[in-house]
Amino acid sequence: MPWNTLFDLFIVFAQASLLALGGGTAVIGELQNESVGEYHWLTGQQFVDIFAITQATPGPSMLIVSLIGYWAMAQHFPHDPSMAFCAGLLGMFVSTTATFLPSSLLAYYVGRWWEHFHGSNWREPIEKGLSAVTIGLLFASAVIVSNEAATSLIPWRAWTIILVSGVLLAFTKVNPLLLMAVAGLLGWLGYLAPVVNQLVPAVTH
Amino acid sequence: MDQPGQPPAAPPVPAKPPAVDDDPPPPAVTLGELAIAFTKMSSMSFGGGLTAWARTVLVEERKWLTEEQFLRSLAVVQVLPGPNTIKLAVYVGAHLRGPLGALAAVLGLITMPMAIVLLLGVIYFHSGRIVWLENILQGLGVCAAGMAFSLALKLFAKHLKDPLFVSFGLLSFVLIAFAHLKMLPTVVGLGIISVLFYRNKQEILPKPAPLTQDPPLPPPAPGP
Repeated sequence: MPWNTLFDLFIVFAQASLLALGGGTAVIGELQNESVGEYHWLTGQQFVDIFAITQATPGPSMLIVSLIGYWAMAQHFPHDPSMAFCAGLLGMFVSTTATFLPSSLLAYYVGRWWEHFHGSNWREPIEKGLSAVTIGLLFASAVIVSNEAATSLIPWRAWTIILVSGVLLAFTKVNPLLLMAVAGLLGWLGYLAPVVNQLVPAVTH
Repeated sequence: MDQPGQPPAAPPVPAKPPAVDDDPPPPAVTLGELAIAFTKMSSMSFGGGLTAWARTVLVEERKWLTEEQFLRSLAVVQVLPGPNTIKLAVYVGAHLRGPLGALAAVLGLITMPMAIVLLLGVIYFHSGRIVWLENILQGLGVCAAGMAFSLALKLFAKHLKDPLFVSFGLLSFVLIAFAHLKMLPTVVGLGIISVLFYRNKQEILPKPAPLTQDPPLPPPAPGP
C-alpha cells in the first residue's frame, strides 16, 4: 500500500484548501499544478476530464479532490481491480477529509466566536482585501485549466468556447446545464478535436 | 394624535439590527433531521443554486433560522477559505446542534454527491478508451473552464469602480500567473497588504452618518 502517496495527498490538499477563497474555483489552478505537474498523480487530460465531471455533477466542485485521491492510490494496482478500488477509497477518504477539514474547523471556530467580531472595523477591509486578491487566483486558475483543456484540441475553437461560455455565464441568465449540453454536443461532433484525432484516435494520449 | 404639551411621537426609524443575544434560541433538531435537510438541499441543487435552496429549506420550510440569521451565516463564512456550501453546513449545524450537528450537516450535504462522483470516477478511470465519451468530455471540459472564467469575470465586474480592488486584483493575477510564485505565501502576503490598505482607506474617509441611530428627540414642550 503506497502510504507515502496517502501522506502526500493529505499534505497537499490540506494546504491547498486554504487557497480556496470564495470556493473551489480559486484553487483549481493550484490543484492542477500539484496533481499533474508536481506529483504526476494524473495526466493533464485526466485532470481536465474529472474537472468537467465534478463541475457537471451536484455538490461542491471541490469534490474533484475525491477523484484525484482515488486515482492517486488506485493506479498502483493495475492488475488487481478489487485492491485498486479499496486503495482508491482510502485515497478518496484521505483527500476529501484533508480538503474539507481545515475550512470546516475555521468555519466552526470563527462561527462560535462571531459575537466578538460582530461589527468590528476590520470586517469590511478583510472582506474587500481578500476578495481583491481572490480575483488573481480565479483568473489564474481559469487560465491554467483552460490551457490544459485546449492542449489536445484546436486552440482557437477551444478558447472561443471557453471565453464565450465564460462571458455568457457571467453576464446573462443562461442556464449552465444548457451550455454544458451544447458544449458536450460540439465535443461529441468532433468540432473541437483536430482532424488527426478523429481519424486515428489511438495516436493521441 | 399629538396632544398639546406632550412631545411628538418619535418618527418611525429603521430598527437597529438585533443584537446577537436577541436571536431566538435554536430550535430542538435531531441529528437525523439535520442530515436529511442538508441531503435535500444537496439533491435539489443540480446545476447550482444551492444557497437559494439552503435558504428555502432552513428559513422557510423548517424554520430553523430567521432570514436575518441565514444572511448573517453566509456573510460570516464567505470570508473564510473553502466551499461556501460546506462552511454553511458547518456553521448552521454547529449553531443548531454543536460539533455533532456540524458533522451531521456536512455528511448530509456531501454523501450523495460523493457517491455520484465516485461512481462516475470509477467508470471513467477503469474503462478503456471510449472515443465518443472522450469527445463529449472534452466539450464539457472547455465549458467547465469557461465557468471558472465566469466567476472571475463576475467578481471583477462587480468591483470595477474600486481602484484599490482593481489594482490588487491585477497585481495578484500577474504575480500568480506570470511570476510563478508559490501561491499560498503570495496570497497570504498580498492578502495582508491588501487588507491593510483597505483598513487605511477606511480611516481616511469620514465615517458616514450611521443610518440606524435614533434621531435626538426634541426637547419636551413646556408642561402645563
